[in-house]
Amino acid sequence: MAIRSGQSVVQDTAFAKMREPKRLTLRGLAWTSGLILAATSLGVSLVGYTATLHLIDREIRIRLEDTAQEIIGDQKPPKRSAVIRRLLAEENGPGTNDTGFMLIDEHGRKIAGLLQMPVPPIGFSSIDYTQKVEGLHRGRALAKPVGDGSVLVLVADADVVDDFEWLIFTVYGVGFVLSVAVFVAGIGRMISIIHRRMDEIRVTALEIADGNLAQRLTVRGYNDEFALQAAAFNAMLDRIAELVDHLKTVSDDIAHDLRTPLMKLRNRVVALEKYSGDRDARRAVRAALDQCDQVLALFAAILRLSEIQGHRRREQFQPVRLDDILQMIRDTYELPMAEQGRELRVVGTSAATVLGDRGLLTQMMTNLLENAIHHTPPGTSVLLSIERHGDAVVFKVRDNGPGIAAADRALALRRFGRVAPGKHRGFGLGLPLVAAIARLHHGSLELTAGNPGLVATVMLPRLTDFAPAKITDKTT
Amino acid sequence: MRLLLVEDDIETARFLSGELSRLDHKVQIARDGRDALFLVREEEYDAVILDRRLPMRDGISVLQQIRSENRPVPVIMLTALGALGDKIEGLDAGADDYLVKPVEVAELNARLNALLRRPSQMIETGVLRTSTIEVDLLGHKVKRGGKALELTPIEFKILVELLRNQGGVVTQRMLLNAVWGHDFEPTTNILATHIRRLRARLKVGRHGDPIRTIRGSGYSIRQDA
Repeated sequence: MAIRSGQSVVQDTAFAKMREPKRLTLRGLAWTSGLILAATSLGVSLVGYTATLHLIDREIRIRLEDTAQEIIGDQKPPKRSAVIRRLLAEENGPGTNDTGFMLIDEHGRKIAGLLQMPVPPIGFSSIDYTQKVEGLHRGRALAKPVGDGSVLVLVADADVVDDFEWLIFTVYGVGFVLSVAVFVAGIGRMISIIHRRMDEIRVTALEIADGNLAQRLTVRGYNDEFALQAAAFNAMLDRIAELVDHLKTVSDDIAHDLRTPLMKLRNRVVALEKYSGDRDARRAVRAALDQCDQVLALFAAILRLSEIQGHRRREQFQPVRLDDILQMIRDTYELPMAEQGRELRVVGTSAATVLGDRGLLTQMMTNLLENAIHHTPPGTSVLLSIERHGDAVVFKVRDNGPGIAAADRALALRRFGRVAPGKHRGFGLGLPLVAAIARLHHGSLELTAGNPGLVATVMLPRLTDFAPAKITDKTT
Repeated sequence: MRLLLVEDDIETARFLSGELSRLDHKVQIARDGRDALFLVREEEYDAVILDRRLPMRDGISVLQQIRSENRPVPVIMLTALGALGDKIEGLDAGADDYLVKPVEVAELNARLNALLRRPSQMIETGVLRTSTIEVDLLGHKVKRGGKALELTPIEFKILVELLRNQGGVVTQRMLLNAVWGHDFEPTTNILATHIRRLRARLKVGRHGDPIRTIRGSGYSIRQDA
């Protein structure tokens, strides 16, 4: 949402939504693992299915070979009547219900056996339902020359049980689907757990980035990886918070403790002023007093900046209408500026509500306006505007003064960064204060070239679902 | 005015006490929170000037205790802390006013006087007036010598603050607080322009400028104006 240009200086983009990374590695990993598992599972099923069929086929072949050998016998050349007898005995014997027999003579005529089918080629061959062998859906045939010109044909059913092939396919199919389903459910659960924990870390990290160093991760359990990770993360935060707090305390203490002796010094200078009879002495004393006040004001500004950066004031945030503040600023500054030969124009005052601290937001807006007043010559025109851009409120201060060179804009936003030292009074804390207030409100400050002049843009998140409370008359 | 000054730093206490005595106030000094509470219970004071950071018992706690005992003595909190959070905390605890050190004695004096004047005519009638000026607080109407005047909201608030303290001095800081609130700290002299416009508007017919500038202190409105 931030307006960017080649020359812009972005002070804070915390409010800008975090861009989601295009490569979601966790999900990618899950998909890849899922695909690998599915492919593996499918492969295993196919291999198992094929191997099972192959195994059954081999058993049948051995059985057919053995039976044929038994019927033909060891005699060479075999006696045909003996072959027929053994064939009939096998055909009527137990355990051969799934086998068909026939003996074909050298003229191609069947001379024994109940099997009805064309003579298959010599050796093993496959038979399916197209050959229309009675009681057989799929099977194996063995045509073996007996040795006396006749051919013995044996056919065995390959379906161990009815629809065996379909059964085995179903078993492997269900196994495959089940394993994939279990994997998907497991990995889905795992991803959701990882996502939730990662989200916790991300939200906490963002809150910390937003200034809330007191935020910590919840440690659940004590022995899982996430708990260990969270504990380590929290320990790191404790240490950082301790260091930051130490640093802050030191700087605050310096500012605070130096104020006390300075105030005493000031008191003495005030007392001295009363005893200075000489006009020059009085002037010198006044100058000293002025210096004291400046240093005290500097410390007050440092403490104030520190207070805002501490984010304690967020606790008191309330809905605030920026257009109301803008109206107040117009009423306050229009006349004084006109007296100095400056023009104040206000445009686009549409209703714009943000969640914030009214006092600080007022200070932020007046600071930007006074900044424009202090750094532009009489005759300058300053334009204040409030616009709504989607879910943001944009407050702009645009002047047609000399502006700030692109290279100096970053300096202007830095603490104690003064673009023209000596030319203007001030500590170089005004714009950092504005930026700190914007950041406190999850917003940003940006300085851009106005061509001519300077444009200071503050973006704040708009409070969209806020409707001002209606005043109701209880008597009606 | 009989004052209790609660300040642990002896040098600051002596300086403030000296300056206030010079303005005809009778000042008693307490060095810590416990002494302060003892003196408030035992003696009668017109106002208490209470430092925020004190040994034994801090200023906020002392103030809360005073208020819980229903003692109506006006209290001005005085502190080196300039943060607004502290100001709000002080006012919430029951302070009548709040000043950040270093304090100009003229500012402190003006605020002390203003505190003692608070329960005035306006609470009963909703109208503030001098001999020729009349301000209807509820109706937001202003008259000078019977003639209705049109004031901007800012001019109206300035006039009200001056009238609430008529006879006394209203400092620039007090006017800024009254009109724009505690957080408003302009670095340009906007107040002068609005006072100038108010003066011009108040000059009606033979009635002259009722506002006096007290150099180095602030403004006051003449009761006979």
